[in-house]
Amino acid sequence: MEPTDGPLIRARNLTKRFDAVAAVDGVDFDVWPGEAFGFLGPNGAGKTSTMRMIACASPVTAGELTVIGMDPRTEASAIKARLGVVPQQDNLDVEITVEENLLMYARYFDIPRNVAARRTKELLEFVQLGERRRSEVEPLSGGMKRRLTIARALINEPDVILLDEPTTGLDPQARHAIWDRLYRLKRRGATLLLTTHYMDEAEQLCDRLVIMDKGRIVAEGSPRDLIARYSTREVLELRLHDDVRAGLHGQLDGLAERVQELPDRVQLYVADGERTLEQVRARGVPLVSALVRRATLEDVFLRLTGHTLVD
Amino acid sequence: MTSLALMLPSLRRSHHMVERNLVVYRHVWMVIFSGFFEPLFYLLGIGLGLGGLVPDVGGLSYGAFIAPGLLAASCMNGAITDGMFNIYFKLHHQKTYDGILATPMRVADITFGEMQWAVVRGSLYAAAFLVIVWLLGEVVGPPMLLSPWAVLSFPAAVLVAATFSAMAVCVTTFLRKVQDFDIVIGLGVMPMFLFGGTFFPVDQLPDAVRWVVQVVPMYHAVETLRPLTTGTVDGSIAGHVAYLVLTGTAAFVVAMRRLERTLVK
Repeated sequence: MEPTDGPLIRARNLTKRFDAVAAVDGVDFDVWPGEAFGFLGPNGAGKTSTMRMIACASPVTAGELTVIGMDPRTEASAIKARLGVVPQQDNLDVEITVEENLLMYARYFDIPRNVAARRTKELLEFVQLGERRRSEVEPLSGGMKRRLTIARALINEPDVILLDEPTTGLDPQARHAIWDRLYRLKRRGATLLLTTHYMDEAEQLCDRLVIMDKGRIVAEGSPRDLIARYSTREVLELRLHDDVRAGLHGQLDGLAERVQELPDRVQLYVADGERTLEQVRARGVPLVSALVRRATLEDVFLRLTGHTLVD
Repeated sequence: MTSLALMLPSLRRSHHMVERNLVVYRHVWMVIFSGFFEPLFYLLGIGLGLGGLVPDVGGLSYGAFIAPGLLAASCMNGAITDGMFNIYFKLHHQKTYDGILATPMRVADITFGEMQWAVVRGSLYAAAFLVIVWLLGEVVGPPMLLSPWAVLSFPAAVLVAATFSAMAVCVTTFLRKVQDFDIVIGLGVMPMFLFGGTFFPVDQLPDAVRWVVQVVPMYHAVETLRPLTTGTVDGSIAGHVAYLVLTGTAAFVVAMRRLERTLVK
């Protein structure tokens, strides 16, 4: 039962099928205590299905899954007692107040009332909702609801916190507020498991991640490793008029390690973007605009799957 | 596959659902009353008002004849409000159960707890109704609750509430859109209320219709409550009680399995 030295979560050939469709198609991964582990991929990649199997909210179709040393098929309640779940769609209890949401949730875990009251107070402070504790849930903003959901997921002092698309649908300010809370949890040594289709979220929060596409894992590593392995250091983005682009005829050949054509731009994968830009200009290619940037996980994803993360 | 032990609800965990509903109703306690007044108004309007113009039915005053049916309707109202409307919205709109299922709670615990709450609500209405009938007394009200059998009226009403609750939860698992309620209420609940032996004896009905009526729970609820409240008990009550226990249990098992399939997929 006790996680001593092994991974907290271990999946081997884990598969989820809905009728004939394989949402998760035989994935392997390990999540170790104290790490922030991410599933990065577009919508429909199988991230949420994987997460739901780990949370014991969806039966495993095939393969092996062990969560905190236990089998979700037979020990769901015992596993759920030690997980904190932040779902993609908020499912707070809208009929009761902010504070009652936490107190009531603690009851489902059989947490004694005095302990529940103390944790509720601390957690509402932690997610900066102390002043709204007697408020109804409905009038809260999207960011506040998500923060309350995070507080709710922490009420049982979980061994692993599962976050499914924690900032999807939030405005930039609310996203940063969520990231800030998650950093603090990381610093306290919490194990975080999150899915996201935002590469910036994955880069900022994850120590290690897997890139998923169409139910499969296509790469695994730390954000820095993945970029080093699958991309050059810099990317030169060129925007050109359509007629110029149609008449290029190999004018960009030999300038970059790899050239990626996208509907609105051409991306050149190079070590030194500024130098390559000079070379492009020297060849007399008329540009609408040019941008040199560092490579990101988006480039890794593009390289591995041939399509972008967010359409 | 899932073993029986995993399917059986835990009493302790199911009580968390009852507690949750108590917390909710602390905020909206007024709505609890609404379901109680409808049968009371029927009793006063039809039982006492119209009853003065109607001869005795099977040796009972008309008020005494319809009061047990209205008692059954009280149980049904509580069960339907919580077992159908509230559960439907928690299931499909508020996703409340998805949140609760991320804790050690299981579908069986939730179903059992929600049913208990619906039973509590139905029983509250039944108790209030019985108190009113008793207070009205035999002078202004129907002559009821005079025989020793009357002691069993309330436990019987709780059983009726439990059967209706289980059936309400079960029916709810088949509803896919809000409009489906109109069909259930209009073609199920209303006819059952009017023709289930509440306002007139079912032998007034043509044979084919009577046969249908005798299958629905309302008929058996009324036939259980009428002898106990009016002191006219005979052996046939055992069959009606057995019907309520068996259909209630079957409905509960079906409801639990269907909710499992809806929530854990």
